[in-house]
Amino acid sequence: MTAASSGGGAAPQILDQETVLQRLAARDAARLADKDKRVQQREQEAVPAESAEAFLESWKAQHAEVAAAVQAVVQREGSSAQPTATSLQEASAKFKGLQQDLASASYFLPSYDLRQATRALETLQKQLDQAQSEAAPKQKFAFGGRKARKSRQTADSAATDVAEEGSRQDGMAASAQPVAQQQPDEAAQPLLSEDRGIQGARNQVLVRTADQLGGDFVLEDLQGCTVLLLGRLSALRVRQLRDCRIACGPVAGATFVDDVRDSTLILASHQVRVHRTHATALRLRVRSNPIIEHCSSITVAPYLPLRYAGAAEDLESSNLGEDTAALGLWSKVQDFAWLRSTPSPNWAVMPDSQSDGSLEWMDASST
Amino acid sequence: MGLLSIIKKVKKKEKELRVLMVGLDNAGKTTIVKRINGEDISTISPTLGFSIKTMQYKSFRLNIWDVGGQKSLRSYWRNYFEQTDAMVWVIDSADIHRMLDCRDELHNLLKEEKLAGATLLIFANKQDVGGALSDKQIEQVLELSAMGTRHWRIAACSAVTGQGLLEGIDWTVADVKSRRFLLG
Repeated sequence: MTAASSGGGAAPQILDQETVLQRLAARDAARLADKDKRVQQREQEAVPAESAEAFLESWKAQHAEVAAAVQAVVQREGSSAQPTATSLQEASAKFKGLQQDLASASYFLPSYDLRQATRALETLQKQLDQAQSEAAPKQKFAFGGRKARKSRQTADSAATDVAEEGSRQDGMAASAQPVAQQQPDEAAQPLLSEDRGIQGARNQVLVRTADQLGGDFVLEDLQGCTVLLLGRLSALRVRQLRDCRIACGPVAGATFVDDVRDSTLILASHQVRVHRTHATALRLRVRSNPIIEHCSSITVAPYLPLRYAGAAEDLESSNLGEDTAALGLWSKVQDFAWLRSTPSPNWAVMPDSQSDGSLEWMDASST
Repeated sequence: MGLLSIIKKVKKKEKELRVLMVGLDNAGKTTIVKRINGEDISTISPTLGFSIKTMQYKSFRLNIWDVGGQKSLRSYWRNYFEQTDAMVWVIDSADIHRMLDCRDELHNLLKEEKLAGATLLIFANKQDVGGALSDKQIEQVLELSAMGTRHWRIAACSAVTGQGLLEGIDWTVADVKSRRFLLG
């Protein structure tokens, strides 16, 4: 515009008006053409790939398609239990395509749309996962002891059927044994053998003597039980006890207690570790600081030796004799859930009136 | 002074190894450390916090960071990850009940960026206890096959009898050494 006005002003002296106007018109036309071209160019570059609306529309259509496919798979699952692995695979492949499209478009999409789309994808993913897990449930981990025994049995029975192939089959079963996985329904069954522990008892008096003990021992899921372990152990694990009374001979390693309520534990052990235990009395002889974690209302008192033949010798030979008792570590409890300098409110020393004397249940059953 | 002391310092550092002992509580971490160091193992208390042991192993100085494994302490593990050359994960092989816990904690640890380059030794401890799982079984339970490029090994051992301990440490030191040699 400045050129036009100055040109207009200068026109009478240098050029006639017409040439100036012509020149201006030509320049204007060139400018317009240039602008058109640029707009066109921009549209060419942008429209198909970067128009948010266009993308969202096509993406939504695709999304609906995949959602329908997933839905179809889920419903088919419900009606007939046929495996629909292929259709599931297709659906998940399409789903991945959708995800990729969205990812590549994310840099030009408005944030609101992007959020909406990701949310839609998430719900779809959930449905897909569900359908997948229904079609082929993941095998839960479980230890193979039972299954291994079973597979060997089946192999044995096969061996009797086909006598000449027997040895080979047996060998195969044995080699497959470590890989054998338990079925989910078998996972709930106890994985302890008799001499390794006591599990699931209710309101019983259970006594184990030295020849039934040794090594690792587990007490699990007991209610209202009295348990006497009359012998030496290398490790003791206690969990899920309610209203129980446990007394045991010397443990050469650690005693690990978890999830116990309203019980009494009489332990002689190199280490005592107590977790998630409430309203429980501990009578201890230890060679290290007993520890508690996430516990409350714990009372501690010195150990009461069990009365059985060789009890004193067992204690001495496990380094848990009178020397250890003299260390007095039973009262040096450390509370790992109370890392302050003030004393922990979760445990206390048992008053003398209660800790004196022996307990009847320890004698009554040992005879 | 100057250059010579710097060179000396670097040389000395090359011979130092930072080892982090981790694992669930009651796995036997402290017992292993004390056993390797030749100390009394009959009066070990559960570790409250951590302890550092420095020992000479062949031509190397091992700085062993023994960190408590109680649930309430596990969130502090990350404070010890910095500049760790080797990580020793200790397992109570007889504690079948918490094996899945153990797997989850280990896999959480392996995701840590600061430990990405560290050599991993897994001690399947307490093999002397009846009912302990073998190293092969533990390898399966812990899903160790999906480890990727990390240098790792599982070693069956018993801190009480001392079986398998030195072999494990031997491998760890050799592995860190070879890695350093490559980089230096």
